[in-house]
Amino acid sequence: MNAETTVSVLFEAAGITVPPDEFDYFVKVYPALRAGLDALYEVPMTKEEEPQLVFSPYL
Amino acid sequence: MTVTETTSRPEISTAPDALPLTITAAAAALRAGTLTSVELTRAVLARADKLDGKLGTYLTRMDATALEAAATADAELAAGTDKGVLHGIPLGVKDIIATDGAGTTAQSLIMDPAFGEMGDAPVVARLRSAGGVLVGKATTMEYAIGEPDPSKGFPTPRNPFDPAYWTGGSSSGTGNGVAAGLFLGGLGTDTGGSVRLPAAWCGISGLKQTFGRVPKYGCVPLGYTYDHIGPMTRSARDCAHLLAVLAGHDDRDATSVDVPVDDYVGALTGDLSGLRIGVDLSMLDLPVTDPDLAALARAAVRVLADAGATLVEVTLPYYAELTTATMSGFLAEAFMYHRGDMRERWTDYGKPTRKAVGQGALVTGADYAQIQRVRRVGVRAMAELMTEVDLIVNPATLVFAPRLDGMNFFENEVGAICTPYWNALGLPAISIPMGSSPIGLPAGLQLAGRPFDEATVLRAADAFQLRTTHHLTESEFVKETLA
Repeated sequence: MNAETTVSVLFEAAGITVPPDEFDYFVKVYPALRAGLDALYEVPMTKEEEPQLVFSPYL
Repeated sequence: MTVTETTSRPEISTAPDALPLTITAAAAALRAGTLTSVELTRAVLARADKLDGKLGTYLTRMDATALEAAATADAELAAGTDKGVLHGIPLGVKDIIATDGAGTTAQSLIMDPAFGEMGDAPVVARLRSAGGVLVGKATTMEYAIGEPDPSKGFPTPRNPFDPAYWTGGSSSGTGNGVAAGLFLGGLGTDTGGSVRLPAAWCGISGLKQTFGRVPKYGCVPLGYTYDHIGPMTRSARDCAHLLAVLAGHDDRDATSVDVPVDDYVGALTGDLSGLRIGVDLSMLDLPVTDPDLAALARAAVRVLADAGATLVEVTLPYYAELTTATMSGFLAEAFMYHRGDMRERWTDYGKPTRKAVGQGALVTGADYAQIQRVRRVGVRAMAELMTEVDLIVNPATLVFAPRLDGMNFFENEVGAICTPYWNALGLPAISIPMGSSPIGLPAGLQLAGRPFDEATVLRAADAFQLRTTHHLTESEFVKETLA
């Protein structure tokens, strides 16, 4: 899926309509954003770590 | 209480009003009887009359209630009731923090005005209890993110050293307000650097303490797991005074941590003997770095050695990954908060806010969980590094403030900001002035420490400022405007 399609789908899924000039901006920045996020999956030892997410069953 | 902590150098403005530059100096004058809180408050309000229209510091001024609070402080001090160093001191509050009687706009057309009716946030209540005189709500970037956007009718915050340049964001009004003497200290918030960036570019000191150290209940969220409310003042010593009042558990904030509060002011020994400071200046070799700023950073690090510290070259672990973890993680959290309004009112947000927060829609749930896993790896790696050093120093930014005309921060300068790394880790980090560019724009040195060890961070920052005068540099533009 190319950047244009991905960005379109993700905004559509969020229910957000983005004007064309701003949509072009998101398409432009998406590859770098995606590359940065993908790199996080390559960090050693993450498989052995719990994410810093905390759920509590009480308030 | 007796205030004895004054430096040997005058901390008094050379402008005609001879305003104390620091909270410490003002507190000493109040107790020496050479100044009253009402006189001090009138002086900063007079500065605001002349400068606010040029600098864009305020969204709301609180002149009447400030003067009432100042009169009360004078009466209390005269009667021997001394609430501490902040008693009678004019302070500003970033306009995303609930403040009774002042409303909260978050500098946005979207913000629900009812948010401001909740009363004081705990941090504001603590400032009032300490006798602080609240003089107003300071400008921000919309919802504490983005760039100046004059199209929505809010003021554009401008750099006090040259109004053609930006302050940095998002605690912009607190930054330029302290630097220009519209108040002597204030509250900012920091999610990726929003205390330290305007501190660096406005030439003041700004502290992001450990995540959970200061309660953030009553603050409009940006990134729930990255947000901090922190002090902004001219000196690190003044930051210590503010943090002493702000720190402490509040169970209305789910992320507040109940650990003892250290004696931050008592830790300011002026001596760094026995401290090992890790130095990572590798980013100064990047092509984006301004060579003048690089020279300032290298000279600043030598001052820490002169103060007695042992410098140890280190490499910050996972620098790129943890910077991504902050910048993408808080955007996902921000988008979660704004999704409903963005669906219905996209164009009521400023364009820079839309461009920034909208990227949060492009981060998947798996990405977000992986971000939080990488943060734990980072925390572990940093804890190991911190067994060898007590502090780590690096620059707050690699460039000086950009010009406002034609600025495109999120496409240009954002990659030259060194603050987000510490938000991913939640560790205390301060930016302190380390000098100026050839045209007089300030830059900041960043010191970071172990969890809840703000005392050592402040000790090093104060020791640096006892050997330098960068934090007392006054803007010629401000002085000329006041003349």
